[in-house]
Amino acid sequence: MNALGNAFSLLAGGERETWWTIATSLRFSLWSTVFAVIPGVPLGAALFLGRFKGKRVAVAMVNAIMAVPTVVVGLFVYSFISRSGPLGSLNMLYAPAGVIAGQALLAFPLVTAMSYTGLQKLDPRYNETLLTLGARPWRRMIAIIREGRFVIVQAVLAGFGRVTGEVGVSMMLGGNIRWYTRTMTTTIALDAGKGEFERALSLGIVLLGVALSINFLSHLAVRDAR
Amino acid sequence: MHADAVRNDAVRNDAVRNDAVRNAPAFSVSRLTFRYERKVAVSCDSLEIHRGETVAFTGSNGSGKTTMLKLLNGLLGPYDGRIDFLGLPLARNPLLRDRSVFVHQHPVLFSGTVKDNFEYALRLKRVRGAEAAKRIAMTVERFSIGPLLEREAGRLSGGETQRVAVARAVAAGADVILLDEPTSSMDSASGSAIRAFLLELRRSGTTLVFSTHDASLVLDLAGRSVRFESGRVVDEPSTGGTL
Repeated sequence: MNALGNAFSLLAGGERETWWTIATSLRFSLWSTVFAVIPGVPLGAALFLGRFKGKRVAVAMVNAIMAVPTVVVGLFVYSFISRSGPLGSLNMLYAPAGVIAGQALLAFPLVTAMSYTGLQKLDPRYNETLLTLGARPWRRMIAIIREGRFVIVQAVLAGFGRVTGEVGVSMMLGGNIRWYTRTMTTTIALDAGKGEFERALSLGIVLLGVALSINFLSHLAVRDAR
Repeated sequence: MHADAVRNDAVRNDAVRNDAVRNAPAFSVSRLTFRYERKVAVSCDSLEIHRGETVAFTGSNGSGKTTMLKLLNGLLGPYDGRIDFLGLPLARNPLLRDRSVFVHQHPVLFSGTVKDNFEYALRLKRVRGAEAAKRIAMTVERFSIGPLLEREAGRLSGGETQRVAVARAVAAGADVILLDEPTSSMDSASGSAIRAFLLELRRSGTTLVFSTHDASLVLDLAGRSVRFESGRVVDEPSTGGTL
């Protein structure tokens, strides 16, 4: 109980390192979500609109990639951005850019798959009407994304939630460097390991708040869609 | 020399295409089979629909009428066999989206006003500004839908929505219109308004193909009816009703 009280005190007292970690974590998550959404939402819409051979295989692949463990994603990106990797000269390893790249890769299949499955719930007449009126593919994509904006919001929120709560990628690619790449989840892992529960608990409370907020906003998006 | 030869080939191909377009029927279907989840949904050995014709697809629910209309408009595929639109294969037919529109049983209008819907449909055809305004004004006058123009599309009745959807297709330049049960689930006043609408289109030479269960609509409007049964075109009476 004492630890929990101290955890609240850290947050309420504005303890600098705790709030820096929260802000950094959210900043990384925001950017990685942006980089996942830019290709993910159009790809989800293209999968929805496209009529091509192998579509089922493509959808199955996106769904399969979604289930890849975060450390495997981390390892994959590590092999590219490590000193000996093809992108080693960019010095992204153990830097914010590395964490953001890994998290973006983690969220990308989730955003794509959720956009695709969400758009499938749209009235099929909408797409057919655009098609019959002669809307070109990119026009249809824009119109479909606009019409399905509520399910897209859900996909974006899910992507944000996924990267905010992950630890494997941040640890492997960021190195958990204090005042540089340390995030909420890596701090929790480190502090809990050291037996210092106050900060871990305070960050856990914030993570819980983020998760609840995302669920609430997601619920609002679904309600508005109806 | 090579450039000249390529140019001559292109000119020759255009001439052949234009000739085909000028003389060909609106639709020509041969040995068509469309399967949905391995089950034959539509099968048709031969069907021709000529320009300016009004053809009714009749048959019970699930007999393949709507599927055939969607196939003719390139909304479904792939299929075995061949469908030509104005003398050219349906796939990648440059004329299909310029001249043909499918109207659903319960049409979709986009958000905004009726005028927004017309403008959007014209924008898709790259018609903007004064030309768009002129086309909208002509369509509104022709179909007497002025009072609907500034109304929210989502607040229109079923009959009004159907009329706006057809008018939108005409404004967008379609002269081949495919309609799925245009008068179903409508009161008699709305049904009459749609009927008058379609008669006006028929008079102006628009090719109309529609599915229906309404025998009086077939008698009043269709020059010919095609009956569907379990996905097959089972007969094709040569004449239908009168105007």
